[in-house]
Amino acid sequence: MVDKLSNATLAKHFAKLKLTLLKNSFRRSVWYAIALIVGFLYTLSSVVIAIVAAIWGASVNPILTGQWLVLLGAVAILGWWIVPLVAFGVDATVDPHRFTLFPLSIRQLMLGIGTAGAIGVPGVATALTLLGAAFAWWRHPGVLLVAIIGALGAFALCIIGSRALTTWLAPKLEGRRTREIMSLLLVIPLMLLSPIMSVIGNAFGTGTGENQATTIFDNIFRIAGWTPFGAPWQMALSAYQGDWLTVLSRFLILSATVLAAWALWEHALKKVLEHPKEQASSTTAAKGLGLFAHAKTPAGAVAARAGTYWLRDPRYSMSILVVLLLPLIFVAPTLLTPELDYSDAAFMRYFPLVIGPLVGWMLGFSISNDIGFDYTAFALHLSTGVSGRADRLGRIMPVLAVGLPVSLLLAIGSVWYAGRWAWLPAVLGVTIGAILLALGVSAVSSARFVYPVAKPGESPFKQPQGAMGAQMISQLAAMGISMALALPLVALALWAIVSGTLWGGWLTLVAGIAFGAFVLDRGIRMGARAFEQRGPELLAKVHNFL
Amino acid sequence: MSFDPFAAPGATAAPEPGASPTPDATTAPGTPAAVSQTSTGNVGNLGNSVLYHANFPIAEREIQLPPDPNAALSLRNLWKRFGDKIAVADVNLDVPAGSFYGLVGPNGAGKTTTLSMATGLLRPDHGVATVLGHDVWANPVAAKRLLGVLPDGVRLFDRLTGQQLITYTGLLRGMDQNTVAARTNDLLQVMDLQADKDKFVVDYSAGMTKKVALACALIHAPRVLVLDEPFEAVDPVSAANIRDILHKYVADGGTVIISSHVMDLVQRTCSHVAIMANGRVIAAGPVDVVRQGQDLETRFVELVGGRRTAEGLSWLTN
Repeated sequence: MVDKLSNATLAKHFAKLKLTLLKNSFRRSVWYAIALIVGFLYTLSSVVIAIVAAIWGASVNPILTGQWLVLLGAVAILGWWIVPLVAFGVDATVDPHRFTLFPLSIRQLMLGIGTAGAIGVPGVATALTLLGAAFAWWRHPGVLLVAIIGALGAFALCIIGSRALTTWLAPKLEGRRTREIMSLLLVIPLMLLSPIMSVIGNAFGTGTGENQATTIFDNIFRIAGWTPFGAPWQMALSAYQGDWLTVLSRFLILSATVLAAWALWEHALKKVLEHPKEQASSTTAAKGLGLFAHAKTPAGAVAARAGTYWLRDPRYSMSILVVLLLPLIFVAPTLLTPELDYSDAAFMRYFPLVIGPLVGWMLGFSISNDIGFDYTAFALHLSTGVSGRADRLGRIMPVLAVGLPVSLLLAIGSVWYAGRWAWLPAVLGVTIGAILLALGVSAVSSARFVYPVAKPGESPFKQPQGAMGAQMISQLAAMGISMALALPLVALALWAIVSGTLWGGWLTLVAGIAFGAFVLDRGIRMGARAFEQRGPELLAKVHNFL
Repeated sequence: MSFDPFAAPGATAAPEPGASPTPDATTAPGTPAAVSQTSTGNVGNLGNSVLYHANFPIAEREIQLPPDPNAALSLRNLWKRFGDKIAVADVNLDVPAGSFYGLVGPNGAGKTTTLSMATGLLRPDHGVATVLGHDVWANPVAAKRLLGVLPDGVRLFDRLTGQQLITYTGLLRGMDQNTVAARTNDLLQVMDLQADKDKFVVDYSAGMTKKVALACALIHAPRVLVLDEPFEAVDPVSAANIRDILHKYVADGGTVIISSHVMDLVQRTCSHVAIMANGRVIAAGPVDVVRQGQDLETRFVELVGGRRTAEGLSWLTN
């Protein structure tokens, strides 16, 4: 009755499943389909550029190209291994849990999952790039053969390694809290990319010139070549150099790693299938009422809830992290480049002055889609009949209570860094104005427009579909309005600073407070009215998020 | 595009009872003919059986009775359409004050949509909903004060602990801090959540989540409780406790409206029942009148239709 599946049929079934899923994703919405097509074209062009660069580079300088291939190839494999770990929830189509009930042996399941993993867009793009890059050595058939073997090995390492790691680590990362922290930690390297780059750039650029840079590059490359990630590429380069002993050693490293990854995968998969999803044991708790102990009115309650979410929900905490890291990004380049001529140095010292207003504006604007963040939990506000004013005020209060002091401190810090205390009133005026204006605009926009964001509990990196559609335009408009409103203040401050008019600075301060408070007040009134008129429509929109 | 459900029936002469012009006039072109036939049959069947205070005979539909100000919940000519699908088509219902009212119907019958429109969560395309005489859509603040709602299919603010969530709801209702604290404590006790009050709601089981949501619906001591699927996933002991609370609440003059798939539970628990199918109320009244001597499940299947014999899967047992 139930026939035993042949391996080829099985692989075909999984491939078909993956392709059907891909095809169906086109049907979800027009915007999503457009995004997918743009993504395909982008990927395709990257593949072509990478291959052309490799082949052209090898014809100009084979050794250097070979070294770069080792480095970039190693990064590619590392990416395959690491990205699925942190970007949880990104692709669950090949989640082994979904196949526990089918009568498949471990090996069959591995074959199927591996096939499905290789067939997606990233899989095909990687396979094409790896094989294409091997043709950098087309002038030397022997080397080409080694390169192709290396590329195939590298591809196997990508697929098997990533599956092995995710299957092995997934149960350990299953706790909600763990996953959330992991995804937050990913922000830090991303945010620090620019300072890190400038450090590396400095290391290359300064010192004793090109020699030192070459040494660093050589060292990195040499180490990479020994790792399993660089080994497949080192094979081809060494073959070109005629160093067959190295080719053999790297081939052994490569095959050993592939086999080890395979064994780890088999072992982990067996364990996962024998112990289906474990209940998250690391449930966290909070004692008592927390911020709610201080809430007495509906507005206070909303403020307590919003404040609690800023601390507990990774989607909010991420913006705190970004705000904390922002100053570093602005200041780091100036700290790391000490020898600059005078005009550059002045610019670098004054540049951080934008931090205060920028952070204030970002924090104020961060709640411009707050009901989208609530998702359907917003129904509670609707069924309790909370007033629009209380809802608006409550969402604004925590941002104001924490964001205002923080951005003011940053503003003061930047003035200190610039060494121009006379500019303090002007900078403070723009900072206060920026946060109040942005909050005022947010109060209106969050009651009028919602657009999909990552749902509560999802990875903060997940950009849901439709987020790029028409709703974004209203959001962009709100952004533009809040910036346009700030423009007069910025102009006033610049005039005061450039002309050195002392009272101009104080005028900016007064104007910032007065104008900001006016816009905030108007925003709360307009937002409250919109909230009360369109509450059910907002809930209906949120309900339709996919 | 504008949607006037009354254009077609209003234009025709008053049809004979049971002829039901509305399904043909308003059903989307894609709807299978079988569906409207079934519902026509049912309505005809109803014409001479259970027509309690709700759901007038078709011929009388144009006589629009005003909402009953004494009813806990009074729905008049409620319509809701999502795209091509008419989810709720001309629902009329009066829930007497002091009743324990069950709303039953197959999946997709429009129960949740109806309850959402009755509680101010979803704006009807047409029609009126009143709570003890207060219009939900014209005067939402007064109506919502009287209502306690447990919606289905919405999330909670689940990054709060159970205690925080109940407190939050009480404060949103504008209650003073001390009352909220005392009632939160009582509710945690009664719902058997005292031990888990400091856990985040996101980590609660499905049954615990229902219970905490129910506690939120109760905190302001509403006059009318609208509970969408309140017993789903709740363990039998907690369900019995909750039923006791609700019965006592009804005995003291409150009104409870629940939706459910479980006929047995409705028959045992409720004093009144309304059966919905295809966006319409096809029977409503006291449970004993609606079930006509049969048990409710049999009567329900008879009214709604859709039963088939198991002969289709002959290979299942060989």
